[in-house]
Amino acid sequence: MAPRRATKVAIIGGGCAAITTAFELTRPEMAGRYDVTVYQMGWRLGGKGASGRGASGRIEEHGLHIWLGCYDNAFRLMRECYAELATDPAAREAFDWPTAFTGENAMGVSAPSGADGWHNWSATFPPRPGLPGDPLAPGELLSLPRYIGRAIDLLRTLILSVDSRQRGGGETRPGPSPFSAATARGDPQRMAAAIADLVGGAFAASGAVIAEALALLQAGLETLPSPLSNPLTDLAVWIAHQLRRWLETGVIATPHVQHVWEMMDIVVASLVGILRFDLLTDPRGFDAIDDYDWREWLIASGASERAARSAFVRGIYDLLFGYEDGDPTRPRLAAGVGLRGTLRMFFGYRGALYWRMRAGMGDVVFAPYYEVLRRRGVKFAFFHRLTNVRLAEEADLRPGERPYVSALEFDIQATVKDGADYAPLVEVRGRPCWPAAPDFRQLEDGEEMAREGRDFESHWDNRRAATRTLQVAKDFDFVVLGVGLGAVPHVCREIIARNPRWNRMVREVKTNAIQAFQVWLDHDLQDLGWTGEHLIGSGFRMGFEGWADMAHTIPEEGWTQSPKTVLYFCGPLPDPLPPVDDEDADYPRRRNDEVFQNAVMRLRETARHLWPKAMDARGDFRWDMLRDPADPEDTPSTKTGEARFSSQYWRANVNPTDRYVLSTPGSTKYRVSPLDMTYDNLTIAGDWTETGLNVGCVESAVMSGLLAAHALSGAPLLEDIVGYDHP
Amino acid sequence: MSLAETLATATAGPTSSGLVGEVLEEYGQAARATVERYFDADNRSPYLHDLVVDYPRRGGKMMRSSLCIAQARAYGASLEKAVLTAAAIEMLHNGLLIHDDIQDASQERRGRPTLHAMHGVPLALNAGDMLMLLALRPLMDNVDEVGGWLAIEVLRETEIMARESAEGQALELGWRDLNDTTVTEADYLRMVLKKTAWFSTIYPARVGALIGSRGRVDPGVFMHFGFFLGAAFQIQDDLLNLVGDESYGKERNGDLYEGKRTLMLIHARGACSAADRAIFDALLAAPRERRTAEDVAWLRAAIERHGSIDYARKVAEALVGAAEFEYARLYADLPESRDKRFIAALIPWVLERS
Amino acid sequence: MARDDERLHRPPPQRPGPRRAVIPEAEGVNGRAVDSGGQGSAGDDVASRAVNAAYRVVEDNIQEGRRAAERLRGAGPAPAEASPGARAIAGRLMHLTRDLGGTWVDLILAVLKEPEVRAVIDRLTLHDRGPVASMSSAVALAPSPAMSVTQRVSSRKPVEVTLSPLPALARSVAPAVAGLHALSPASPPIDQVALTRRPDGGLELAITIADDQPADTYWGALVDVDSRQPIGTLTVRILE
Repeated sequence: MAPRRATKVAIIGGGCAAITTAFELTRPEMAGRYDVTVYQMGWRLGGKGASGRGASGRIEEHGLHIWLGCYDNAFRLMRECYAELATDPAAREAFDWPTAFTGENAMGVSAPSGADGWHNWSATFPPRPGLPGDPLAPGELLSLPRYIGRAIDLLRTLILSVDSRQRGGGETRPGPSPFSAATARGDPQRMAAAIADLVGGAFAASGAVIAEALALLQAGLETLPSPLSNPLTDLAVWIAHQLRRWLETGVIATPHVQHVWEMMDIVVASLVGILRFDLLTDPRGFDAIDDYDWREWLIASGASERAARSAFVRGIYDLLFGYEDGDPTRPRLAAGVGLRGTLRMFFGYRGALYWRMRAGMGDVVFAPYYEVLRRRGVKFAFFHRLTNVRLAEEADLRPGERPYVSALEFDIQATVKDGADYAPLVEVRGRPCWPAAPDFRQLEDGEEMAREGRDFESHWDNRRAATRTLQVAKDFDFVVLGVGLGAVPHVCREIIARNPRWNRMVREVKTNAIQAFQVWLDHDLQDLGWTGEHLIGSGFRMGFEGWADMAHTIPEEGWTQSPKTVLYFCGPLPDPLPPVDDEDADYPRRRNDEVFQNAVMRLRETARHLWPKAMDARGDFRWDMLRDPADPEDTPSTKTGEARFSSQYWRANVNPTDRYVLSTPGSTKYRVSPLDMTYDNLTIAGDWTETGLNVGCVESAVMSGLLAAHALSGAPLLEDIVGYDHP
Repeated sequence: MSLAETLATATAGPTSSGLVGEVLEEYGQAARATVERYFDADNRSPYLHDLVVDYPRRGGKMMRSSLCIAQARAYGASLEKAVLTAAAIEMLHNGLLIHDDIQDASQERRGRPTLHAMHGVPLALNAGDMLMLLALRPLMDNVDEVGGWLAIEVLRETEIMARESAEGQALELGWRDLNDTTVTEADYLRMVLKKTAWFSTIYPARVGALIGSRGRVDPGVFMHFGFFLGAAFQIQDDLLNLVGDESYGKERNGDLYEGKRTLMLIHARGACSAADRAIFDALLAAPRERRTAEDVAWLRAAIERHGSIDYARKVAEALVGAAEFEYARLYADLPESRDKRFIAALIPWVLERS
Repeated sequence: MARDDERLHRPPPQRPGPRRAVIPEAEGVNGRAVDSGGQGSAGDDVASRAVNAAYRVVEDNIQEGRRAAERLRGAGPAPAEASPGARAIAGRLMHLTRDLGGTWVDLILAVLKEPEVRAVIDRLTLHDRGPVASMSSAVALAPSPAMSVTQRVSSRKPVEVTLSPLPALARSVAPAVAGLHALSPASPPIDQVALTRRPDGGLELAITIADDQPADTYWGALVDVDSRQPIGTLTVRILE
């Protein structure tokens, strides 16, 4: 039999999912079986994770990206990528793994307190052995007893860390403490008084009685098993009830301990809910409760109202932008996703709870992948924007033949001079990075395009240099559609018209636009009066719920004289009514302006609650702290007041493909899996597909990329996708 | 993997009986060593200790204990978790053998005189009791090894098995001693289920699966598989008694001397003419001491005349087939392992052994 | 348009989706005998009759066993009657409820038992008994005599003593406390602390505080000497 030619795979998109598929299909073990070309719109890979370098080499991101310590697949692949690069002496220095990601253990939430106040609560999670991406022992990930065991460890650590900071003799002044309840008034004396108000003797006695009752229960449970409707089970429920009451009346008056018990309440409710809803025996696993909203389900499982409304639960919704239409008054998150996500996030992490990247995500993640893939022979076609996925005519299909993609239509946004390959990376501080704008010098008519202000990433900028149509069997055998969900209705019109499942998917699986901004400051957070332990937090209902201190990235930027810190903010951006027109070329600019206004307001109105010294005598934000990259280092700034903000970075992520995917209740079942066999030569990849995790995040996208690779090649085995077979 | 493939793999390496022999040797050794630990060498009770340790030290196939261990390991447990139960099985087995030998008035066991032949019935009976009660110790020690709840479950299983075995033994003895002539093939199967299969194959499979799966597997699913395997085993045993060579444990034709209702006997009786049947019944009605060599020869001839040996062999093969069918359904989703292959190889082995 | 044989086709995946079930099914079989076709060999008749008979026998035995179990248990019919599948699931649920219930209780108990945690909770509640300036005072901390603890504190300075016992203290035969320590290295430990059993079963706590003992908060764990389990904490605050 003659040797087959390599199978040509066209991967459309350059985000986490698409890149993962490319990485898998071109592994050395595949021995060149797949000839992969990545078709990417614009000048840079990364999709929603793309980042660029602007003035002074500053990092400009789409938003805030963190990698959780439970991202086992994403980290494993990332480490393999770096290891592969390490074998190349030329690349080794630029890409060294150990410092690319740093582990962090504290996360915080700001919650309203009192009439006008906010209080900031942070939680420090204990570091755990190993690193994310380490191989897992069989059974290590998924057993319920293991989750419960970790819950105990976690709780013990959290409680003890309360005390560890409050030593110091008779004083009860909270220092920089994980549980410091610095209210808007910031009054430690008041805190001490509140504690002293607790009922002493009754408190201790109830605790002792309940502990004794629990000991009896435990002794009872250890005897021979009995039928399901056991009075012991009733006793357990009664004790849970009493325990909650005791905690609420006795302990919870203290805000910092309150949060710990709220978390515990959620953990307990989750376990009760798992039993009550038969999730361990349901073949759908946690998907079975995806029609509920997570908060609603927790309450149905016995969580107290207080815990369900807690800052902790709120923080999870913030993390996942779980607000319908970007409206902060409408939190919506599918309960199965919430349950699975919190279990994995808090009890499945290795090393640290979460990890931050040392530079932009494009630099730390996509540049190494690009280098590895290029060395492996993957071809990259930049400036290729997919316009249509053409299906074979139904009339032409023979009986029993599955529908298939017959052609792919692209706009070529720009061509590279002399037919060369586009060289996408620039160097900042000795590292290869993606620039914030394309290198027009490499492009035909580049100067003119630059003058015109061509935005190759904008959905509303349709200008093109040429078109191109790829034909099945000639130019490609298989297609991996790795674009964002928002783009699917635009580029898969035929599929959506003919395929009811896809039709429902694009209608039922929702997305949010995201707004984000970054400010570089000449003072660090400590100077600004920050007393918390955490560097990432969420809260406040003024948009940009999530914020992070990213000072550690400053050394990677190209400042001659570095600012002290950079703060990132991001949050959902509501869509306008009526919906935007595709021809409305001015739309992106208007929304960017809106984000500018939102950002200024955010800093002006809410920065004080976190960083009291960031405000001046008149109560306005100290705009003079902002570092303008255009300012010569040693002369004072020319702009004043909030106009200085225009030197900072902000963006409205309104491009359809940049929209963040939500997991609203009832939507999970409409996701289509990369393993779906409807189309003979097409698979899909992205965090919007049925990935197993079914939530918008890096890990979910990577899992979908692995599934897409499996769909085309049979590898990796599904059992090797960590967490795929998980309730 | 289909059963055929499993067996093919099993035979690809060491031969199927090679694999079985290997595993029986290994697990048998482990069980034997554990049993020894429970024999208190420092307290050698007079007239008891030496009797108790006798049968266990005479060796044996160790099929029951090996099946228990292999089952537990196939379901994911380690050897240590299962070996205590396996030891208990061996102790129970040997205790039952002591009693069996008394009930059957046998003279020889594994090439040496039976215990009661050496020490008299009363002392042998007592030693048998001791050995069976001694089995409680490893079953209690299970608490440390597999946890309290599982240990209790194993004890429950043991109680059920003990009851079934006693009922089965009662049937067999009753038929023999009270000369029941109405025993049919179905009755025989029922008796074998209770007396042999429950202890030899069903119980080890059940407790092994319980231990291996930490209580998640329903032990009831092994009834069919265990029964077919155990019944084929018993029928083969009975066949060997008639046609096996001298290295086999009991005396040739011993069952006929005993008047044991085997499948062959039942079949032969059923196939006889009315006249012959009368002789049959008369011969069986006589007490064992008065059964002569000629009587036994006549019974033997009747059996051969009516092809009862072939018949029983066919039934045993059919049961092996049924066991293979049940095996395939039970074990399909278990990950491949040497233990899983061993269990598969046991099925034909019960007929191959001589 | 490409012809079918010119085009490459995707291989089918291992399976269409994730395996979510927590409890892998060791497939229980209803095990109904296959009719004659199953054993297909010469002597089919013999074989199939024997196998059918065998199936009937074992099914009967299973039913017998169930009825016996019901009778012996004295309870009503077993949870899920006929199908072994449902029964298996009921059994597993029961085990899991037990496991989870027990483990959750462990969670609460483990946390409540940690001496440091108890100390935190008690510190938050700040038992305030006022300074004890002179020799002795009898303080009953709980109704039962076995739990009552008499304090005899010998000190010239105002002192605040908090004893937070766990229920285990009442049962402990040999409680002991190994000295009281402060965090600051400048404050030496208080060694003269003793806990003894009164004749009526209660406890007596005797503490002697030196005149020059620095003002600080001193902590010590109460331990049962036999089991080596913590049974409470003792906190002494010297106020000036």
